[in-house]
Amino acid sequence: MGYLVLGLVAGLAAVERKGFLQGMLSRPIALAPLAGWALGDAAGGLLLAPPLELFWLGAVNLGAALPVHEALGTAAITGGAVLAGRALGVPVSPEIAVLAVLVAAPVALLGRKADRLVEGWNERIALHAEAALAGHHVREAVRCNLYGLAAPFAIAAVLAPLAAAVAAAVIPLLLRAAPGAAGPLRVGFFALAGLACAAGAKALRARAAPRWFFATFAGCAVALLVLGRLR
Amino acid sequence: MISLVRVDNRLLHGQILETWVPRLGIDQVVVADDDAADSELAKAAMTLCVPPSLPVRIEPIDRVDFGGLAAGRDKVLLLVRDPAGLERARAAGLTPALVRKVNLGNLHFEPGRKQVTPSVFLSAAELDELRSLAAQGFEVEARAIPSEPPTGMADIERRYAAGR
Amino acid sequence: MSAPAPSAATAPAKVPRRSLARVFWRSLFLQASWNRRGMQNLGFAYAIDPALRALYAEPARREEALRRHLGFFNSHPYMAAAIVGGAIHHEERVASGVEPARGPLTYKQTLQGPLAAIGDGFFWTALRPFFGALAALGALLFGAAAIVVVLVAYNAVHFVFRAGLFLAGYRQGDRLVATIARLSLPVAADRLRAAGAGLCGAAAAVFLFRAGAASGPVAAALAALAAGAGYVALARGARLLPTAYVATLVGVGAAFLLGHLHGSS
Repeated sequence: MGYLVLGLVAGLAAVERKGFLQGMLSRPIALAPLAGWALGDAAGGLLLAPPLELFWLGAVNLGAALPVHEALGTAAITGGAVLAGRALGVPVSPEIAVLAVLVAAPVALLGRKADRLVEGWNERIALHAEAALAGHHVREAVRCNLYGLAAPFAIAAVLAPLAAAVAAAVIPLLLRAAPGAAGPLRVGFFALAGLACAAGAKALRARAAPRWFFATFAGCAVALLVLGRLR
Repeated sequence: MISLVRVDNRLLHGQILETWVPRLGIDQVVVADDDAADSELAKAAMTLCVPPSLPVRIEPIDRVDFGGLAAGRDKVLLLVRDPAGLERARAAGLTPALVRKVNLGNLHFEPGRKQVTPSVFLSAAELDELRSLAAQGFEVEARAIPSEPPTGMADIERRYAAGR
Repeated sequence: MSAPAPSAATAPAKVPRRSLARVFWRSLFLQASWNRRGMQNLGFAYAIDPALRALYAEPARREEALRRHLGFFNSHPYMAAAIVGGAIHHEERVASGVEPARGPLTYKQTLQGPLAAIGDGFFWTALRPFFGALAALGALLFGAAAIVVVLVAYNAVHFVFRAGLFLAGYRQGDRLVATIARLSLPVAADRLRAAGAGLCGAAAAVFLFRAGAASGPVAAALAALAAGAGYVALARGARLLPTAYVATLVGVGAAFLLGHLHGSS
C-alpha cells in the first residue's frame, strides 16, 4: 500500500515538475514533507526537506539542457527513509535519513536518462499531431499535447517505489548489523546537510554570492552559539 | 578579434548568454541578420536580455565590418541565423583568416532537414554550404553549449548520410 | 480594398474573455509534450487553440492558423505566457485582415530567444532558488507552516507574473518589450541570488548548531568543514553527487575514529 501511495505522489510530482504548472510543488522542500505525510511520517519528510532542497537548488531546466531528476530522487529518498523506519519500528532519524540519501540519491541520475528517452518518444507525438492535422483531425492534433504527461508520470511512479524498496531493505539490515554506527551516521547527516548548504550557495551564481554565504554562515553561527550559551 | 561564429535559428538566447559568453570571455556580441536589424521589436528584445556590461550590435549582414571586428581589441561573438547567412557573410568578406571557428548551435527541424545532433537539423543545401566553408579552411563544429563534446565535419557528414 | 472576411471591415475580430481564460489555463501545460523536433510546439498549439477557434469560424482557416502554431517554439514556460498573449494580439489582427498571416509567427520567433534568456536568468536561477532557500531555512526554524507560507508567496508572485505577462502581451503586442524592460529583471536577479546565498549560509549555521546539540562539538566542526570545504570544492568544478558521498563518508569516518579514540582512552 505504501508503495502505491509513493508511486502516485512521485508520478504527480514528475508531471508538476515540467509538463504542468511548475509552481515548486515538486521541489524537495514541498515534496519530501508531502511524501512523508502520505506514508504516515510527515516529521521524517520534514527532516529531509531542507537539506534536499538546498542540495538540489541548482537543478534547473535551461532550454534543452536537462538537470538531474530531483523530484524522483526526493520521492525515492523520503519513501526509502520512512519505509525503513517502519521496518525498524521507529520514525525517521538522521541516521536513517543519511543512509536513505546514500542509497537512493543516484536514482536522480537515472531519472535524467529517462527524461532524455521521453523527449525522443514525444517526437512521435509531434509527428502524430502533424499527421492528424494533415488529415483534418484538428481536435486530435491539439489534444495530443496531453499524451506527453503519461510517460514522466509512469517512469517516476515505477522508479521511486523501486529505489525506495532497495533503501527500505538495505537500511534496517545495516543498522541491525552495526548498532554502533548510529552515532557516526548521525554526524554524517549533519556533514551532508552542511554540504547541501554549500551546494545551494554555489547554485546561486552572483559575484557577491560567496561573500554573502560565508559572512552569514559565520555571523549566524556565532550568534547561535552565544544564544545557546546564554540559555 | 572574432572569437567565434555561432549559427543559431533563435539568435540570442540563454545558452549563449549563460554559457558561451562567460566561457570565451566575450566583450561584445554582433548579430549579423537582416531581419533582426530591420525589426525594432527584435532590437529592443535583444538589448533587453543582456546585462548592461555586454554591448550588442545588430546589423544587416552586408554592413558588418568583419575586418574591423577581427582587428579590434574586443573579443567578439558573431551571431548569424542560418548557413545561408554564413554564405552571405563570406560574400561580404568573412574569411578563415579573420575567424577560424564556426559553431552550429540550434538549427530547428523543418521538412527536408535531417538531424545530425539533438539540436541541429540540416538541409542538403546547408550541408553543401558547410562543406564549402570547411574546404575554405573554417573549423566547423556542432554543439549547443561548450560543455558538450563537439561534433566535427566528418561526423556531421556521416550522421547526415545515415539520417532520416 | 478587398477584405478577407465580410465582417472584417466593420468590426475588428476579438477573442472573448472566456476563451482568453481557457488559453491561459492551457498555457500551464506548455511543456507537456516537450520534444526535440519542435520543443514546446505542441504545448503552444494546445494553448492558443481556444483563441483560434473563436477567431476563425471557417475550419480551413482555423486549420491553417493551427498549422503555423505547430512550428518550432521554445521559451521559458512563465515568459512564454507573454508570447501566447502577444500571438493572440497578432492573430486578432490577422483575422481582421489588417496584418499578413506571417505576423504572429514573426512575433513568436523574434521574442522566444530573448524572453527565454530573461526567464532563465530571473525565475529559474534567481527567484525560485531564493524562495527554495527561504523555505528551507524557514522549515528549519519554524517547521512545516513556514514551507506553506513561502510556497504560497512564491505562487502568488508566479501567478501575478504569469497572468500579468499574458495580459500585457495580449493588450500591448509589440510594446510588451518596453513593459518588461521597466521591470529590470536582470538587476533584481543579481540581488536575489546574493540574498539566496546568504540564506544558505544561515541554514548552514543552523545545521552546525543542531549538530553540536545532537552529537557534540566534533559533529559541529565536521558540519562546518563540509559547508566550507564543500563550497570551495564545488566552486572549483567538483561534481555534486560524488562530493556529497565524500563529505558524508568523511563525516561518518571521522566521527567513528574520534569516538573510538575517545572510548578507548
